[in-house]
Parts: sequence; C-alpha cells; structure tokens
Amino acid sequence: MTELIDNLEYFLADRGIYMLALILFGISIYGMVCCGNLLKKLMCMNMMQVAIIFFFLTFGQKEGATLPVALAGQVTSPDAYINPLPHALMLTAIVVSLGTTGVGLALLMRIKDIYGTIEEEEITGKGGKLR
Amino acid sequence: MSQLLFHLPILVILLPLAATLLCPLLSHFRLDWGKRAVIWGLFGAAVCAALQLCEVVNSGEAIHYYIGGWPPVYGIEFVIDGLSGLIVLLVAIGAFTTALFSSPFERRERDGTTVRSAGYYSMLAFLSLGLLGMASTGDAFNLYVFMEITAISGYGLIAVGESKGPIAAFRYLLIGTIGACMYLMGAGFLYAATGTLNMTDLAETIAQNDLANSPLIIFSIACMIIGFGIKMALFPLHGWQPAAHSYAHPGADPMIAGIMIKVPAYAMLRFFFFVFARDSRVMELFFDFIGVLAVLGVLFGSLKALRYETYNKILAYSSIGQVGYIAMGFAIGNYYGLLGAVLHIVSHAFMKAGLFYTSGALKYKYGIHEITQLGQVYRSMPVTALAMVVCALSMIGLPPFAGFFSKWYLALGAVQNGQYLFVAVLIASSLLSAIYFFRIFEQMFMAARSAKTEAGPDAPAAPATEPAAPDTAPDAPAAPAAAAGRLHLELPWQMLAPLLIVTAAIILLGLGNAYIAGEILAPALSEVTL
Amino acid sequence: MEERKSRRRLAAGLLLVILLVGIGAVRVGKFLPTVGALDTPANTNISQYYISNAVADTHAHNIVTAVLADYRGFDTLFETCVMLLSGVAVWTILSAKEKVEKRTDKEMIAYYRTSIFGSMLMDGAFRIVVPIILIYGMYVLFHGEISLGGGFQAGALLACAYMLNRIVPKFDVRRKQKAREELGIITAGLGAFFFALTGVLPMFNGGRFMELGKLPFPAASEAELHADGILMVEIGVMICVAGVIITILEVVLERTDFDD
Repeated sequence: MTELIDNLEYFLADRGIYMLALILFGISIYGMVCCGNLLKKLMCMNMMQVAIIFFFLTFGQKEGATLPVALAGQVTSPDAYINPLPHALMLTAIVVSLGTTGVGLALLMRIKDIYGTIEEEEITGKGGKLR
Repeated sequence: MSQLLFHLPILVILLPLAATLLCPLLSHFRLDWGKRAVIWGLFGAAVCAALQLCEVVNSGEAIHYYIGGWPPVYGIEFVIDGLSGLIVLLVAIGAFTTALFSSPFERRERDGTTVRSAGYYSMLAFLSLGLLGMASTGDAFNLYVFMEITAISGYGLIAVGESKGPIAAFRYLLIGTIGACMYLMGAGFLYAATGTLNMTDLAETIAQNDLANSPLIIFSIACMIIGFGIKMALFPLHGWQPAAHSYAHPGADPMIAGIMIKVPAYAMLRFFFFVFARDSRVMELFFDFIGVLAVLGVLFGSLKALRYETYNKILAYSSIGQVGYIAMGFAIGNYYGLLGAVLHIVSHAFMKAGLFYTSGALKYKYGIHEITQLGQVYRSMPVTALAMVVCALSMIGLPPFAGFFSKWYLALGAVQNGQYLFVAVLIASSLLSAIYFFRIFEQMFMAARSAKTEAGPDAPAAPATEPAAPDTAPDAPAAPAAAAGRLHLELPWQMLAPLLIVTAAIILLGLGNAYIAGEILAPALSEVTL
Repeated sequence: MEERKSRRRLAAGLLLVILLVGIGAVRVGKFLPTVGALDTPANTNISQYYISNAVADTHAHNIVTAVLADYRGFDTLFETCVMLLSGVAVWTILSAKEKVEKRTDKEMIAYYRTSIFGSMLMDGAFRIVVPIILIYGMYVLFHGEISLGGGFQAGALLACAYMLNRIVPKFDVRRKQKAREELGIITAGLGAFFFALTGVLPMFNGGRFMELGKLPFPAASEAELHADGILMVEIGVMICVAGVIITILEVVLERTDFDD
C-alpha cells in the first residue's frame, strides 16, 4: 500500500500532471460529442478549457519556489519564484473561456426560446436539423 | 507625418478599435452615429493598411513594431512583411465593404432600440479587428487572443442571422472552441520546448537547438493542424462550416464566409513555413498528410455542392473545395505552390465575398434563397448579375480573372514537384465547379421569369418601422422617398459599391498578378522556399 | 430510436479514439520536462528576465501583474475586449427574445413584501454588506500592483455589490426603471476605451503604443510612470468588467420569468 502511494507521489511529482490534464482533455471531447443535452456539451467544453489551463500552468512550476510576488520590494534570485508568464497567459485564457461560455449560455437561452428544449434529438425532431 | 507613418501597423488596429468601443455610446445618442463611426474606422484601417503595404514594398524590408517599447522577446511585436501586409489589406478592404453593405439591412431591421445597430456593428468591427490582429501579430499567444475575438464575434453574427442561426452558431461555438484549444495546446508544447512565444525567436530557437525532429515539436505540429484545420474548414474538420455560412446574418455573411476562414489559413502558412523547419523529415510527412486531406476536400466540396439547390449551401460547400486548393499549395510547398496558395487566399476571399454579396442583395431585394427562384433576375438587377458572373467565372478559373492565375501557379508548382495527381484534381474540380455555377446561370438567364415579390424599401413593412426612429430619416442617404425621386437604382448605393469594388478587385488582381507575385510576395516567400 | 443507436455506435468509436489518444498522452508525457524542474526551457528562457527585472522596470511587486498589464499589456487590452464582446454578443443575441411582462406596481409591492433571503433581518443585513463589498473591491484594485488582485477581480466585486443591491427588495419600488442593460454596455465600452487611451497617450509623447514609460505625466522616474500606467490599465479593466457583468445580469433578468 505504501509502495503504491509512493509510486503515485512519484508519478504526480514527475510527469503525471500532464497526463491527467491530457486525459481530462480527452474525456471532455468525448462528452462534447456524446452528450445529447446541449448544456452538458457546453459544460464539457468548459472542462476542456480547464484542462488546457492546467496543462499550461504546469510548465511554470518550480521546486521550492514561491508566488511571483516580490514582497520585500526586491527579488532575491530568479529560481526562488515560480514562472510568472504561464500565469499571466492563463489569466487571459480564463477570461476568454468565460466569454465563450457566456455567449454559449445566451445561445442556449435563445434555442430554448425557439424550440422549447435543449435536447439535441428533440430539436432535430422540431425541424432544427442542420443539413 | 513620419510619426504617423511610424505608427501605421498599430493604427490599423486602433482606428476600428476606437470606433467599436464607442459604438454603443454613439448609438445611444443617435442610431446612425455608431454605424458611421465603425464604417469610417474601417475605412481608415483600409487606408492605413494600403499605406503600410506601400512602405513595405518601397523599402523592401519588413516592419517590426514593438508594442510597449519592449524588445521583441519580452513584449509583443507586430511583423508586417509583404505577405502579412497583403493579408491585412485584404481583410481591411473586405471589412470596410462589408460594413457598408450591412447598412441597408441594419436600417430595415431597426426597431427603435440601440441593440440592433450597436450590437451588430460592434460585433462586425470586432470580427474585422480580430482578423486584422491575427494577420499582423508576431506572437503565438497574441494570435490565440485575436483568434478568439474573431470566433466570439462570429458566433454572435451567426446567431443573429436567419432561422436556424442560433443552432448553427452553437455548433460552431463547440467545434470552434475545440479548434482554439488545440491551437493553444500546440502553442503550449512549443513553449515547453523553447520557452518563448515570439514567432521569429521560436524559429531561431528551433533551428539553433536542432529541435525540428523532437517529439514536442511534432506534437505541436499535429495539434496545430487540427486547430487551424477546424478554423479554416479543412476537409474532415469542416462540420461547422456549411450551416454557419448559410444561416449567418446576410449582411455579415461575406465577411464570415469570405475572409474569416482565410486568415487561419494564412496563420497556418506562417507557422508551418516560417516557424517550423521546412526541410525536416517529419514536416514532409505532415505535408503529405495535408495533401491527402486537400485532395479529398477539393473533390468532396465540389461534388457536395452539386447536390444542393440553395444558393448559400452551394457557395458554402464550394468553399470547402477552395480551402482544399490552399492546403494543396501548402502540400506542394515550393515557391510556386506557396505563391498559388497565397494568391488563392486573396482571390478566393474576394470571389466568395462577392458571391455572398450577391446572395445578400438577392435576399435584400426579393428574399430569394433557392436558385430555382432566380429566373430572369438579371433584368431587374443587372449589376448584381454582372458581379455574380464575374465572380463565378473567376471561381471556375477563366483566364482574365484572378481565380485562373492562382490555379495556374498551383499547377506550375505541382508540375515542378512532379505531383501530377494534384494537377488532375485541379482540372477535375474546375470542371465540377463549372457545372454547379452553370446550373445557377441557367436558372438565372434561361429559366422562365418566376414570381417575385419585392421586399425592398418600398415594401409595407419598412415604413412601419421608420417612425420608431424619426431622427435618423433625414440623413439616411437612400431613404425610400428620396430614392424614388432621384436616380432609380436597383439596390441602395451602399450595396452596389461593394459589388462593384469586388468585381473590380477580381479583374485587377487578375491583370496585376505578376506585380503582386514579383514585388510584394516574392521577397517574403523566397526566404522560406529554396 | 435510429438516432440513439447511431449515437451509441459513434460513442463506441470515439471511446476507442480517446483510448488511443490517452496512450499517446502517456507517451507525450515522457518527453515533456519534469514538473518543477528548474532548468526547463520554459523556466530559463525569458521568464528569468521578467522575475529579475520586473520590479525595477515597473515598480509592480506582483510580477504577474507586471507581465499582464505592462510587458504583455496588448494581450490584456484584447482580453478586456473579449469581455466586452461577450457582453455585446449576449445583449444582441438575447435582444431577439421577448421581454417578460413588467409587473404592475401593486404586484411589485406584494412581491417585494415577501422577502428574498428568508427574513427582513437578513435583507437588511445584505444591504449593509453592499458598501463593504465596494470598499473591498477598491482595495483589491489598488492592491493589485503590490500583491494579489487587480482589475478583473475588482470589477467582479463591484458587479457583485450591484447584484446584491438589485435582488434585495427596494423600499421605493415605483422609481422609474431605465434601460440599464444599455447603460451597462456603454460603461463597459468606455472602460475599455480608457484602457486603449492609456495606451495611445505615449504615442503623443514620442513613444510607441502602450509604452507606459512615456506617459505624459510628471513623475520621478520611468518605472514610476509604468506603475501609474498599470493602475490606469487596471481601472479601465475594472470598469469594463463591471459594466459587462451588469449588462449580462440585466439582460437575463429582464427576459426570465422566475415564477415558473
């Protein structure tokens, strides 16, 4: 048992997080294709964006480093702080995913308004087939 | 003045940006002001883009504009060489004409609230802004931000469109987000491998550290093929495209269908030929793969277009085929192949935008969607018919027009590489496109006159909405009462001007292709091809 | 039925693809740098410059803020634009949906008599919370440079205060309601315009776009000007974000009937 936990810790500390993020990415794409409910699809889309954000943030980690805030007003050594660039980039990506989700929800409200449902099969039945 | 010239690359972005941000405020005071600000902002952008392209051609060097004054690796830079300058100019002209073209639609749909005009025009300007930024930027992450601006405004403009708009937009939202995420993942792999995001620096780092065959770069390329492939509707990834292009708002459709799928193609070219090392073993494999997709896409799009009677659907499926040509140019990969691809990006953008202008004009005047309703329409709309004929002949590839020369260069490149399959596909697909366009001509010129009810400005629906916004009537240039008294045009001048501009552009591109190839594109493209 | 069967087949196929991708992911993982290693390209190349020089260059102690608002401020401008754009898109898309009928004054009063959070006392308590949230929002805004915080969070907090104020019963219900959604989007546009203007000002002073060190203000040093510029950027972002959230809230509230 302890051996398993040790292995797991090693796995996560070494490269496991990348794999977990990529697996999350795969699961969410699966969900986006296979869910019949449009809201669930939208949630899966959001999950996918979160997976990408995790993936990026992992690049910025440094062992034994702290938050990139120079509390004393000066920086001791570059290795004492984690990489700020992925964090700045992902703040942008988070806002972008927020915007996409907002527009998606508005579209769903509109679809519910027109067809009275957000189940894909029922929409197809009511003449909303895209062909 | 020289100060102004120095800031040109950023002014191209800033003028429409200022117009967009102030559009809701201006529309709040007067419905027309927001619209005019956007149109003038985009016109300014087009002028700036033309000036900067002139400067690049005259000096023979690329312009590098470091935003924030930070040296390139630490900040974001704009890179304008002949290639990106040409694409920026194309986008700016397309955006300006589309904004002008939308104006009669806006006036008809106006219901006295600010939402319709301010919301629509803000989104249109954001769409143009995103495309302009994608074409100018030299930073991998900045490209993602602009790509998302383009995409979100695209969702909005498709959703306000016709009957099935919201569903088409929702599907595009899901698929488009997968595309953007794949691109971002590709950029992530690149960042992990090199630690930088600037495209020039990326290329240098990859070359110096001999990373071209490293697994991270390979995964990055694979992710980017999927990402850009979805955004440019490359064959098996085109699922969102036909619905999105057919149901988008008819005013914004030329921009969405004509230009929105071309700029990702340009970005793909930028990455694959300027960032990744071209001569590595792996890239050869990837280009073979793209070549297969391109061939399948060209045949699929052309065959599928034959099956439909709806004008927009024919155009949308034909776009899939035409994007296949561009990808084919990448797969050929020598100087003529790339030249053909870039020329096809430009010429197809004008041709498809022109065809969608005619589609929008038909919808505006008669509410025509199906080609069976077209009978004898050229008698009442001669300019529209002329533009349609010129664009369609250019799509088929008849010599004096732009479409012929891009196909010619593609064929030249394919022959030079000994890839005769591509030549055969080019010819076959040209014949197929001749068939589906002549079906349209047949309906228009030979079929009997079909019953059409004019849904134009004289229709009873329009005056009912007019009193809702009485303050705007006097300065509306083609108000129904005024138009009846003056020269009787087939369409409002705001719609005729884009049609004529596009027709002229196709002929000029055809006549001046040697100049474009030799003076503008050759310096940029000869760097990356041997 | 047919539909469901084909969907199941599709699902099975996709599962296979995803398994393959998963195996691929395990393989990719091997080539990626170890998590937390100090010598990866990502951690050594340009990020070292940011960490070593950000404080001296911009006087912003929070290096992420320095990167976000100054080194890559152009990204942030368009990130703000994405926010505004999503507000505009939601506003435009939902404008086609019909508004819910306005209640009459009598109904409004009856509606508001039944309190929202369970009791009158709770409603009163939430009213008191509103100004505290506003003050906290301001703190987050001005503290963003030194520690964690910034314009986006501050904007969200301001919008939160507005939301609470909106859903807690009002005492005088008959006050005329103006088109709030429109004002929200106008404010958001002006906020983003303020941001863009901050970037344009240095261009009149011989600088480039967003070159905050050349802002035409009196200051002791260039780094001081960068700090001022970052603050202006954050204020613009805050106004835009607050405006957009308020717009979306109002647009949705006006078109949703919560009774059913």
